[in-house]
Amino acid sequence: MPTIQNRVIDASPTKDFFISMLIKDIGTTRAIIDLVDNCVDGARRLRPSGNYQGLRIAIEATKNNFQVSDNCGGIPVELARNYAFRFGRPADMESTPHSVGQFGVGMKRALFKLGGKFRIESITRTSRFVVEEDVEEWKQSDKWEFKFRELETNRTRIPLSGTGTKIKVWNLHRTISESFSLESFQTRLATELSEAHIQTTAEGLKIDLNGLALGHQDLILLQSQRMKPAHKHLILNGDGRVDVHLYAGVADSDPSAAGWYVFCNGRLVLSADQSGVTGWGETREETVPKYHNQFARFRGYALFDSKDTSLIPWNTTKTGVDSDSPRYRATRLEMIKLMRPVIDFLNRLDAEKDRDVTDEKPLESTVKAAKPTELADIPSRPLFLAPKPPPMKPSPQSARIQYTKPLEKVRRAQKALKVRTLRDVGEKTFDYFYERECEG
Amino acid sequence: MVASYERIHYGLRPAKNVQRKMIVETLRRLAEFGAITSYRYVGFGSTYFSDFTLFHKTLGIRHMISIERDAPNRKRFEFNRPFNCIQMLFGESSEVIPTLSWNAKTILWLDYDGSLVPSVLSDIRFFCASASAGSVIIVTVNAEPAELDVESPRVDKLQKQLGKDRIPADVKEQDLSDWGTARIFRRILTAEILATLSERNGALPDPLKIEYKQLFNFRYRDGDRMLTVGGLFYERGQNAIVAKCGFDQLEFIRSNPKPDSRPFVIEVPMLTYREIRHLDKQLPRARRSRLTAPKVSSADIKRYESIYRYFPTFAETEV
Repeated sequence: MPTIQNRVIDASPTKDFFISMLIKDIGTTRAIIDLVDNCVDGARRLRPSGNYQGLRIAIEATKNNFQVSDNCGGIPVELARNYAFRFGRPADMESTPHSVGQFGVGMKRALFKLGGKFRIESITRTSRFVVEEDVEEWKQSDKWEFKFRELETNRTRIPLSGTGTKIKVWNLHRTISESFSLESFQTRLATELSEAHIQTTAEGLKIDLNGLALGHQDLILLQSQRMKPAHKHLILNGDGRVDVHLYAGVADSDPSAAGWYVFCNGRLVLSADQSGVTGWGETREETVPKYHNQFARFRGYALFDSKDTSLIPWNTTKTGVDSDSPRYRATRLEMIKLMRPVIDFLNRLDAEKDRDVTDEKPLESTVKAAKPTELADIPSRPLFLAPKPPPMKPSPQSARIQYTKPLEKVRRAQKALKVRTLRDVGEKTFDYFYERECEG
Repeated sequence: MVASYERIHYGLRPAKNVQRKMIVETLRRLAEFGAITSYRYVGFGSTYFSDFTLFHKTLGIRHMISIERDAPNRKRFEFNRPFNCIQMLFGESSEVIPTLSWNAKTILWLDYDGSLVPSVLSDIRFFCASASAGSVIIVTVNAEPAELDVESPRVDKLQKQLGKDRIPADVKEQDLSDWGTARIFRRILTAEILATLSERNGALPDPLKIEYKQLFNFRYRDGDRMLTVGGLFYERGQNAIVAKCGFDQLEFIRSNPKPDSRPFVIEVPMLTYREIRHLDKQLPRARRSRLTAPKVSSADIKRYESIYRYFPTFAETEV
């Protein structure tokens, strides 16, 4: 008879799983952006209504050291004790409204990904703590705990300007350290960092990388009297509210920038997507064709926002959407509806190029005359307003035939036909056939 | 390719004529959702506009849009437009449908001449993604089995035509002969409708989720085998309204959505006017009585009985 005891199967996690396996799911740049996400959440706790002027995140990534520091209010001790260091997010944990952190995995995963030792120092207006760990030592212990190395609560209030969080990682893993010394990596990191929080940086948050301020670009679409982007506000109301703003239209012709951009609570999770995830190539290309460079002007933006972060359809690495989420599937359907008229227009624009140089190109001139407009200034419109196509020309009444035949045979035919040019050879042989076989 | 309106007179296809009248009778019952005159009709009027004429005259629908791909012959269609309330929109349906607003309750009849191709599914998808509750979709496609070809079995052809992911896994070669292709087409069309609704419903609270009730599953052949499927969109909270419509009281309604459910087969028997009058006098049949007509087969009598109220009579006439 089996006893109760031997019916138990051990399913407890190993630390090694978190230290060595989970980190494989995320790229280095993305891991760093995860750490920046925590800083951004700090900024949101500090200024719930937006306007992040004066707030700054500084990242240093060099051969031997990694550090990210901010002046965004610091991590409250209770948050650190109950949430920030937990693996996974406790269900009863109250999260920052509209936050970017959600899964309770980003920070730890990033620290493990980067190096062997880390130190986190955080100062709020009334508290201060330091957590410092050697990952290898932590792995040896059976306990799933970190320890506050220094902890001060109920301090005398200090001004906000003195608050903030500083995360340092050293003993960098060899591949990380090598990456950090590559200029190409630094460039990529800069680009991804400035893209990831494009919405928050537009509201005044500054991000520095190795002492250099990252620029921020605006999200724009072309607009004029005759050509207007679609802008649809969806309220996803399944269980809990998610607001989605969808925009679709045209911008500069740029194959690497064309596609859909998906933001979740201000964080870019999909950039210039040209895949089926955002509807390209749907229904054997009948609903929407696959991406092709004639659509290099297409831009679509999907901005998800919810107070309750758990409703947002992103994946845990925030490098894409959770395409099975009912909220995303419903949104994707709307994205497809919005993009199709833009695609039809871009096809007509492309067809216009084939006209003779002398012909007018009304569609192209409309696009050229349109003004770049920031998303915030684009009014609601259920559908993309495309410039009217020019009246259709009657279908051609003649067709051109071209073929190649052995020279010797052509010469003999030319002789027999008594004509001088090869063009005449072609036309006369056609006429000869047509008179005998098709007429009368 | 010659357009089908140049090959065949739409009004003279008797089975199609019967089907059209049955659809009208069904649509009348939409009144529970709102005055039928407030509905919009979107279809492919071609040059004959038979459906438009019937729907305008008998249902009083005034908001009508005919989608026409043959833009170069625009003038001919404008000339043949029977009523002022029909708006012509030129272009492929797959291009026009996404540009229409679907807030108004709509009856959309995608009445294709051709087989089930991806653009059909795309049109369905765009409509199902937007159609408001109370709207009706009707799809007619040619359901002739593909030509027999040892080199390339019908299943392969179908997979190439629509993509492997859209062919139900249990479909075998023998399932596609005769009316089998129609049976599979109905499954694929229905699957597309339901898949799109499931995506759309992801954003909606339960009572507002959109359901689909199949109403039509017609088979008929005036030449090629044709399939018509369709049904009603309604919100989960509107079950009582749907019940009130009483669609199932109509004998040709086929609301069972299961893959092997029976279609309503429209077969128009060849009868003389005298035979028709003779049968009409005995209809509707009293219980347990038998219809008779001298030397007319019982199969034909049965066929006639199933459609006699919609039976077309054609006569040579100058209207």
